[in-house]
Amino acid sequence: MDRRDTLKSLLIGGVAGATIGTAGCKMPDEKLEISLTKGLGYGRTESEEMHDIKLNAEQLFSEHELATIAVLCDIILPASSSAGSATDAEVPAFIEFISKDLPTHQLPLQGGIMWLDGESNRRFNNLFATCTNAQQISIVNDIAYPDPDKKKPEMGPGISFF
Amino acid sequence: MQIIKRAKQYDAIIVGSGAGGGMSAFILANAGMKIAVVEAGPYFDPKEPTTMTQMKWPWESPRRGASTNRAFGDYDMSWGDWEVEGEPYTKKEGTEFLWWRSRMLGGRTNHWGRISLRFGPKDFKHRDVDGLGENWPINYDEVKPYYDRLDKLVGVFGTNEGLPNDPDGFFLPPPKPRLHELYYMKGAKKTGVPVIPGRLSMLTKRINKERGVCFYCGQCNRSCNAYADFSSGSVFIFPAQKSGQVDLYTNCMVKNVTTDSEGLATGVSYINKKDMLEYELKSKVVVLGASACSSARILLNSKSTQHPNGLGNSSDHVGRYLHDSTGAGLGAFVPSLMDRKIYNEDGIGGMHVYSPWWGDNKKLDFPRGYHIEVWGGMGMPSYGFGFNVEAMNKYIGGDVGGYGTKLRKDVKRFFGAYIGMSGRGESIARYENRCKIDPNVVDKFGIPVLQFDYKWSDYERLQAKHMTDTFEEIAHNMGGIVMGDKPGKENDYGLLAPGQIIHEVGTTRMGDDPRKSVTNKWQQLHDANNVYIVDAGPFTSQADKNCTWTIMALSMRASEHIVEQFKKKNR
Repeated sequence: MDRRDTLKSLLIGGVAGATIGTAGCKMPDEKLEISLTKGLGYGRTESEEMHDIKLNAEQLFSEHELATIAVLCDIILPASSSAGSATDAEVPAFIEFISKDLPTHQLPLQGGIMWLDGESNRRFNNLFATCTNAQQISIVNDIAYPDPDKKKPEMGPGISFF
Repeated sequence: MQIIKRAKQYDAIIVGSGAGGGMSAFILANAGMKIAVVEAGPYFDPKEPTTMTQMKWPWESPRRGASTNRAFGDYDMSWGDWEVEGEPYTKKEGTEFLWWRSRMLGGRTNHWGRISLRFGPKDFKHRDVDGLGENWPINYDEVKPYYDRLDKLVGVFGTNEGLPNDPDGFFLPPPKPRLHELYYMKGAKKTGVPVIPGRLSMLTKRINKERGVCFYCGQCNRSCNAYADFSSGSVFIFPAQKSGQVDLYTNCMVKNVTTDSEGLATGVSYINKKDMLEYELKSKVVVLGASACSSARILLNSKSTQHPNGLGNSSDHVGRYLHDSTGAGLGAFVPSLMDRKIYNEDGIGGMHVYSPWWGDNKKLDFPRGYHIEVWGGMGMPSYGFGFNVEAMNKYIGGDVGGYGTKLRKDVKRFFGAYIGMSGRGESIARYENRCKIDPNVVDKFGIPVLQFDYKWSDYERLQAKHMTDTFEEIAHNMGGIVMGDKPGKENDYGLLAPGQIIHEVGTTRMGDDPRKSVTNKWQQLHDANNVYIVDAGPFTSQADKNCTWTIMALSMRASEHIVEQFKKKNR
């Protein structure tokens, strides 16, 4: 049907249209102007847009943490003949976003990276991200298999993290 | 604060634009009545590109569809869920209830499962069968003509099976079962559980010029931009607007029904969310379709000299007999579905087959029944997909854990190897289970909020036990392994909390006796006959069916009663 017919019968009693939802968090007015009514390209309401804008304005992980996440992600999902790598798919940026969106991820990830650096320092006197690939793999092999019969007990925190 | 009175006088004001309100708007407007539809949420049209989520890829959401903002995920088309900002509700200590609200034109019909089941003859008179609850004042034969017309008007697919309590109808062709559904059929057959094609309101064939045909994107919970699913806006409100008889008030939160010295309704009072001012609208008839609990809340907040206990509440029954469907579920991993050929598993956004209730309660330790919904297949991955997939190796003797090529293989091998079953059953309506006004809490519009007081009984717990026992047997019979720990007595056998199934009904139940019911069999208040309720409030009992198809059939019936009365008076 013609959408204009529908909109015509909307009354001032509650003007609707493209602006939707209720404003949730307080944001500077100019920021509101930037994105509201556009739905951010995936159908967001006003308050959902503001939630995303707020998260995107924050930075959670340090450069070092993001670099470590990138190395780990590409060990977990490296490029293959038929697929790109995790970093090709911008997984670190996703992890940055989702950890702000779902804050329960923050402690396990940040604590896990600290544990990983502690372990690689102990073994190789180097931070995990700057170790050689072989060194990184040797640690990963100790934490990637949670089978109770095979795991080394002192690797518990690393296994939980991985 | 001064209340701003609007001069316009309507024949009827309809509160709410969901299944009940939408149907009522459609009937009244097409009969030539001048109506106002007052909706608490904003305008919504599934075709509007800025709000549309249908056909979006998972990666277009920065959280890949996670449920941070919307309880059923980023793309679910419900603005509001069990929590709505600024609109709290409370619970009596030691009780549980979750109250879903969708604040938008069309309400919850934009995202619902669209399982469209008629109640059967037994469902209207179940007290005669087991002595529990109360009979409806109407029977199946009285509602059947409305179901028949509803089937043709809105469209529902299914098959005529000749079952005694799952009546035949006018069905569009159902979609074929997919591989996981064939597995379920095999397992159910071996268990002695019947399986028939699903009955859902998506158009598998064209029924009119305004609405398109299902193209099997499987995303009905996002509200269809082709209008091929039943959403109240697409199917009722927009066509009703074409009559020129409808004024649509969106973002207007109704506070109470206004009444005169005779105790009859004169209109409604509402808060306009845009300017936060209170307005009054006048009408000859008020139709409440705000949802079972919202309509009860409006009535209880409509106190006057004539109605000191709230409008329609001389019986103290408004808010009582609140009941939701029971629910429990179980997931199974089916090793023989691993490493399988990938084929087209598109379909409607829901099940292609289901199991209507088959049991004989005389041989069981609980009353009433449930139906089984089935899920599975290679659905579109989104947030959470493949989490801990490597751990699945424990079921097949593989290496638990891993990364790299092995992980990538695991994700693909286990994809689509899960089948789940959910039971949706009938609880017994109880006087004690209720919502009432919390005397101490208001929402951000200054309107007193609801307090819930709801507890399950052993009837529902034992039914849930039967569900999970049955699902376990079916899982086993299709070669599957039950995932996770099976729930036991300590967690009510997996019975979900009241309100979680989102089928709440009964708060303004219908009956012939004004001392024991709120509305009569035409859904008019016993205490004020120009107020009608067209949501699930008047349900005397829920069946083991989803309530929406009956909400609509009864709203059609009540609305035609309104038209009849209106024409008599204006002759």
